[in-house]
Amino acid sequence: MGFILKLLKSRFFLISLAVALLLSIVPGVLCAMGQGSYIRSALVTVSTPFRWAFTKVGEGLSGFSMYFRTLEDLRDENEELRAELEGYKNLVYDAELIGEENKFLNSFLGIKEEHVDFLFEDATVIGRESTNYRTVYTLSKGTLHGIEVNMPIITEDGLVGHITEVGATWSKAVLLTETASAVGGFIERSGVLGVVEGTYELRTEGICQMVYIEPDSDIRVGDKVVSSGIGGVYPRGLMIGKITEIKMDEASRTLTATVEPAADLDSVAKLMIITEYNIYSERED
Amino acid sequence: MEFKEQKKYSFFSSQVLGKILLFALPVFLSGVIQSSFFAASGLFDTTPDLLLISVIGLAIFDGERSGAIAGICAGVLAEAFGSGAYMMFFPLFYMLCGYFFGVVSRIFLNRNFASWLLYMLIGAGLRGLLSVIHSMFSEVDVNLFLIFTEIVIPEYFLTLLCSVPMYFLIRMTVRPFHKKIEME
Repeated sequence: MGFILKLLKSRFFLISLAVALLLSIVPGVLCAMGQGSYIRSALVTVSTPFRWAFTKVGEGLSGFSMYFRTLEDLRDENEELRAELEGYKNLVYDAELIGEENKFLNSFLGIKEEHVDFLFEDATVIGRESTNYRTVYTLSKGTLHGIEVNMPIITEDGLVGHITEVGATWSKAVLLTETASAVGGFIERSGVLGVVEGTYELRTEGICQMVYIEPDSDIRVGDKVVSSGIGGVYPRGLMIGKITEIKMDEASRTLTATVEPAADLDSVAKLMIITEYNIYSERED
Repeated sequence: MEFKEQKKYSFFSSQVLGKILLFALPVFLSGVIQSSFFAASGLFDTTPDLLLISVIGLAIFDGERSGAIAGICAGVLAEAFGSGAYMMFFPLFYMLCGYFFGVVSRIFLNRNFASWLLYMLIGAGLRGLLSVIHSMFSEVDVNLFLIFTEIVIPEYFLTLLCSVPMYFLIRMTVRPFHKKIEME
């Protein structure tokens, strides 16, 4: 209390307070009225050369500090760009997947247009169990999707095989190169009939053979083999492959031709299951 | 200890005129550097209050009268170098700081470096308070968190940091007059 009284009695303090208040309010009021204070103008004018000099020094240092700041910014930017790149990689990957799917769907559409009588269910290969004797593919569709045993499987290139076992959401299939497979086929050019079957010897090479061909048949290397529809499993007209070699079977006195499948059986990933067919079919639904 | 007013000297005495001339230098330079160098250098994202350091420094080493006068001058400089758009009451703020820090330093604490740092802690805190009040009156949507993180806290710590070299500068500035006063 004594301190405050002493303070209030101090003429110096009171004068300083008054001057300070005046100098605090007047320039503000003048500025608010749009008139610059003379003191302010004078101080700014006097200080301009000094401020200019210190600004130049500051700018000089700014370049120096900018080096470190830029380095830091570049590091941050690099991290951001890396993250962005990762995002773009994912996008490219997605786009590739979509592209593949699009390609598949286009071919699917082509087959659908080619075989208006067929009903298809597309499927993906989700497993491949390979033993010394047999290779079985597990597909992503089962009874819930209307899949049944013996339904043919094709790609846009040609016949792949048929369904051998069905679960609720999966099915198993064997390729036409497997020993368990036999397809009635004919030579598209000459109409010569035969049976395309897999053998233990040829399956490892990814090819099969056409047997029971009459010895005097019109058959040449390069001829295309399509399904005949005989046998009830495969509809007529599905591309099987082409003849690569012809030889005489001395025991049965018939010709045996080696057939290279049209479909790429090694890299098949997406395929179509023919769930229904009516025309050219001998199958009773 | 009791509060006694600082010993009076005639305004026109050579000592007082010398003080005015010499003490004006750190105050003026502080204002100039504060308003030009720090903004241009971009070394920090904020500007320290060098004027406050000068005012408190002069008050500590030369008493409340010098502190108050330096405070008024510093306030006018701060207003002049500022935007002038708002009434910041800088002359009043610096004058009060100069006067009271001068009184307090004479009564309670020595003029050593530790005391200096303590004064600067308090002074920078008061400056932060002024910044908060100013922001609250000048901004429509007041975001106190942003005001503290973007303005008050960086300014506080940079002011403290700059007060370290300024201690030696101010002490050097007032040293000749103190020797003479002591001799008298």
